[in-house]
Amino acid sequence: MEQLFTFGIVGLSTAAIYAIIGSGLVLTYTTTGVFNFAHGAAGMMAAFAYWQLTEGWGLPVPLALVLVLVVLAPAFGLLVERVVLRPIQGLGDAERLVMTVAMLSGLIAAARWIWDPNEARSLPRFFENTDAIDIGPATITWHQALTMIVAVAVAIGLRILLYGTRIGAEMRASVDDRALVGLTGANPVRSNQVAWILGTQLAAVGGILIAPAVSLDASQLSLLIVSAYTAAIFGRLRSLPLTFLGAVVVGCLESYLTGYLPQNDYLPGLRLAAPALLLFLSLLVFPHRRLRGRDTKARPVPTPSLQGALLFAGGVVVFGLVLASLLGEGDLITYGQIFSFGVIALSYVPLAGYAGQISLCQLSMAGIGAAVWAHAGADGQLWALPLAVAIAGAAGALIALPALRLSGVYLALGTTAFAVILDRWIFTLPSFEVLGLNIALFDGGTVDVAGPSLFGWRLDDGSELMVFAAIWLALGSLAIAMLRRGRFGRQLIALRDSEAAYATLGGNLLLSKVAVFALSAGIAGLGGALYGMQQRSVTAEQFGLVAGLPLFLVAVVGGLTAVGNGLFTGVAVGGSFPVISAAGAFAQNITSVLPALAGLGLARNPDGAVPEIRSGYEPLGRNKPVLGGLIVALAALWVAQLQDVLDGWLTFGLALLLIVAAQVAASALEQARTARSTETDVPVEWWGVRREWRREDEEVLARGIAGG
Amino acid sequence: MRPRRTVAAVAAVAAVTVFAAGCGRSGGGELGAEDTPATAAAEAAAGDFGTLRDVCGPGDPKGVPAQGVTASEISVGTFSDVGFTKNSEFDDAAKVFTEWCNAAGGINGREIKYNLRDSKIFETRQRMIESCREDFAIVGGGSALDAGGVEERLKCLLPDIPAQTSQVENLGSDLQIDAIGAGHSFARYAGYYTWLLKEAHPASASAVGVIAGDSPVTKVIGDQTVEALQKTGGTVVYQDLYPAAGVSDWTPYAQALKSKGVKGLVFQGDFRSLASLEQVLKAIDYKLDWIDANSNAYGTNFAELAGDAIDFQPNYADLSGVAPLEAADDIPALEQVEELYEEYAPDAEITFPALRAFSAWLLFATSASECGDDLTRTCLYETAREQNDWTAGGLQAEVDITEADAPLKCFNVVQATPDGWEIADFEPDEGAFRCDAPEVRYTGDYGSPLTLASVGKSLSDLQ
Repeated sequence: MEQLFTFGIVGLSTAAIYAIIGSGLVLTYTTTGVFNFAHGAAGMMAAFAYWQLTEGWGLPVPLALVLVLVVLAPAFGLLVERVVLRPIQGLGDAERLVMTVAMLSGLIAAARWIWDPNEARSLPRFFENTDAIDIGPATITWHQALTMIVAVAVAIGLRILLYGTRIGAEMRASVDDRALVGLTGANPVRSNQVAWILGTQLAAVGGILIAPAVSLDASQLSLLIVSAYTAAIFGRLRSLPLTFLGAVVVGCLESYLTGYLPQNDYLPGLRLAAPALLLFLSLLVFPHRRLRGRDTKARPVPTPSLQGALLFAGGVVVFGLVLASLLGEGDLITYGQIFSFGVIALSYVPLAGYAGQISLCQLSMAGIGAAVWAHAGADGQLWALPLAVAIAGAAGALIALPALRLSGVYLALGTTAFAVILDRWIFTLPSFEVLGLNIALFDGGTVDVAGPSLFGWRLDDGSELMVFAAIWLALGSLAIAMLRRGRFGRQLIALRDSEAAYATLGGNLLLSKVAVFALSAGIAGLGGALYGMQQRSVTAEQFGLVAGLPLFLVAVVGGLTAVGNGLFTGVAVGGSFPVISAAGAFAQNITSVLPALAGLGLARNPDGAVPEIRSGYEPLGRNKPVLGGLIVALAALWVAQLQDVLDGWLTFGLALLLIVAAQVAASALEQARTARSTETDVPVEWWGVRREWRREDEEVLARGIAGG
Repeated sequence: MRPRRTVAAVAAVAAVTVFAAGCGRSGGGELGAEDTPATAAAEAAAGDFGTLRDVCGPGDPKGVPAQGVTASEISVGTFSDVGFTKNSEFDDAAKVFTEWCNAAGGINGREIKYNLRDSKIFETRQRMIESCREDFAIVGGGSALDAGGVEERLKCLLPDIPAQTSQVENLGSDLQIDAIGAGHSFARYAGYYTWLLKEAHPASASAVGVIAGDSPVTKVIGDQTVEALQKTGGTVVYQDLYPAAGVSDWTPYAQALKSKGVKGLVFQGDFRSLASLEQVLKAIDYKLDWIDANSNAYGTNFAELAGDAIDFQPNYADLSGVAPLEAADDIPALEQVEELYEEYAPDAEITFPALRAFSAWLLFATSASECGDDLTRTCLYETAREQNDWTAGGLQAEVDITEADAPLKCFNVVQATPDGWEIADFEPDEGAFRCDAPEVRYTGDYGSPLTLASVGKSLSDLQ
């Protein structure tokens, strides 16, 4: 009984921190509709700034607090609102989510860049030298008591703000209908700004209060808030009192599990994963109101032509072949990732691009694929590859069941929780038995991965595996293109555009969602197996939630609906990052910030980079002489390199130069041609009279009339 | 014997928490100041280090006896995760040692050129392949996830004298020589635990707790710790894990320690987390008899982070026979290291892993110098393996390297204070060390290191 009481008190002190952080999350979400994954990171930056002011530059604590909470935090909030989020107000959930994920990884990287992580920094607790308060057998420090008091003050303050002031009413109104608020003369931008300022301030308060207990570590501080997410979900992202209740539940759960969970090999991980499990369950159990009204327009999904898809697939294989012949063994492992990451990234296309389901656990699915292949395919048996795909697919289907009830941000959170559960519990388990079946994932460490054996031909060197992976990426891209052109692809897009309409028209939501989740998890599993083969041995850490974020970021930047996205993401993550970071420490810092910057650049180009690249290269595709010349020149380069006339990197540079030059030339030629044709063009009414009637004219006219 | 292990728990894109658990080594030490002839750097010849004579020196090398060795140069690989952890201690140690050695004439006239192999946590295999292609040997470094590189290293028959090893597959693998010698089948801290549980704090033996990070590798260390504690007379009443990504509030852990009545705590994780835990322990006024902070906490940062809480109960770390920096005034070899750092890398901090790197470098340079002009891998490996009284010129207790898997005999304990670390009162019997550690062989199944046979090679393939 005494212990029950003690751990309860302990849980409450943890709960206070979650409550402060959670309420900031809820505030920004309700007002702006953005679930801020970077909320913890903002708190982290505040804690570092506070450290810099007090410990670094010796400012007195009250002054530093005022500077951070009243000047820096609001300024940061306004900056974020203006620069990052306003431009994407009209975009979809995935894009908005990506902005905050980009901010999260960008802020962590920036903090590690600015404040050397190897230098110890400590923040003193508040009232450090005052004696703790004894409550029966439990003890509470004044710092903890202060945290609780601040939490209660925050609760009361927010209540008064939201229900007792005009700006509060505006904020609540803009939750319900932004457009209507605008019509009544209020300014929704202003309530957004207020929400961001307050949200950032709350994050800063949380950060400064939590940092002395955690130590100043950029990623720890930023990522601790999974538990606070759970609290926010308890409040269904809307209700502050329920968020506080959620914080208490999570805090006490963590505390009681520490005190009472039996100790064996399997359960400690369960405790670590408990907040995530709870998040998952609460997402499932609690009713969710319709997410904020869609003020977004679903963007059309491009349909790849069969010819184009075949050409692309062929190009991927040739690229793989050329790369495999150019690179040395070590580089083959590093750059082999281009294709295995590509396959994993490809899995986002049907799931997030076509069906509109956001999943942040694709890399975890890849981890399952890699582990299954490592064990079942230990001697390279080819049948283990479909098995790996099937098991990853089955895991994907498992996530799809909760996904039936979830969408948008909730789904993103659910899949995040799933990834965390795998990271902290399942992947770290020693081998165990379920129903007589011995299940071993990573054996609590590293597993060796063998290359596949193709009808007696063992693929085990880097170049063979690179080509193998390239072929799978080509086949995968082709399959996705076929999917888009087929019935199932159209169904998925219908599902994305409106679930209600899709169901009304006789579509089966359950079946389609399960199918698309399983399909994409299967693809990710294949990618994971290929990645494992190239790495030869893998650990669970390579497939963690956070390791997967850059992949997701770059995939969204590439454009989720584009079939070419697999290759784009693969090249960006698996190819360009290693190339840049090879240039030294400074460049490594650059690459760690790069995905974030790319994510932030998304607003300019919501369709993604791949369609833009494709449209840039279309003139080249149409210009047969230039294209032919380019191919001949590239082949010549390749031969020259194979004959050791040129060195690998020089060849690479020259090839890049040639491709860019050909593209520029082709575009210029085409522009010149169109310019000429426009010059000689005649007014519309004379078409077919002063010049010949062209086939496309009819469409131009039809569009002109419809558009007018 | 087994080296210090570093276990990386990759918790985030940008987030690795490196846990480490001390290090070990054995041997009887003739290490103390009184045995060491007065050879502070100033008086010694250019190529002498501590008690070692002619570690480096001029010569007239000819020929290309092995891969990575030319008439003028020896290419050596040094592994590090610096690209990820931004911790350049191995790079610094390599820079200081090689510049000093080259200034003294190199290895019989051949300059040492070290290639930093930055494995950035996940790229150990790639770096190892590159090292296989270019290097003569691997010296003075270590990666957190080093299991990835062992197979390649064995396939290309690269000798390895690491500063630290981490994963089971690598620790004690073939062609690896641990300069401070800790056998992988034996408990490294047997002497230290025996001292803690039987001499220093006998009342704590009935209630010991173990907290480890949840990374797969620290979990193994956590399990080994429990076995070692039990075999040295302790009763483990509490064992728990904490998430590598961090703990928002350590109070539940502190409370659990309190309600289980834990008196001695072994913490196998990063010292930042330990500092937070200790602050909470102090806040709830629960005083343990002792905390094993492990050698990873041995450095200036721990005291800085833990503040006053460090004084609340004794914090120890076992340096497993590596001379403590606090004894620099008494140990000429340490003094010499300090002088060399002052000269070649004035901004770098001398850390515990850096000292181990120095021992590795010295073992390499001594053995390579002995091989003379015809420097081959076989000669390097065999000469290094012949050392039966290795002390790294006085940087460590004496070890017998001829045996690849032997228990540690010596240990030395340091204690943390708010002003930094100081040498604990552990009754040293051989110089700075105490060499009466019992032999504790692990009986649990913790996996085994890779062998040459497992990649289809044997020692006779070494050239």
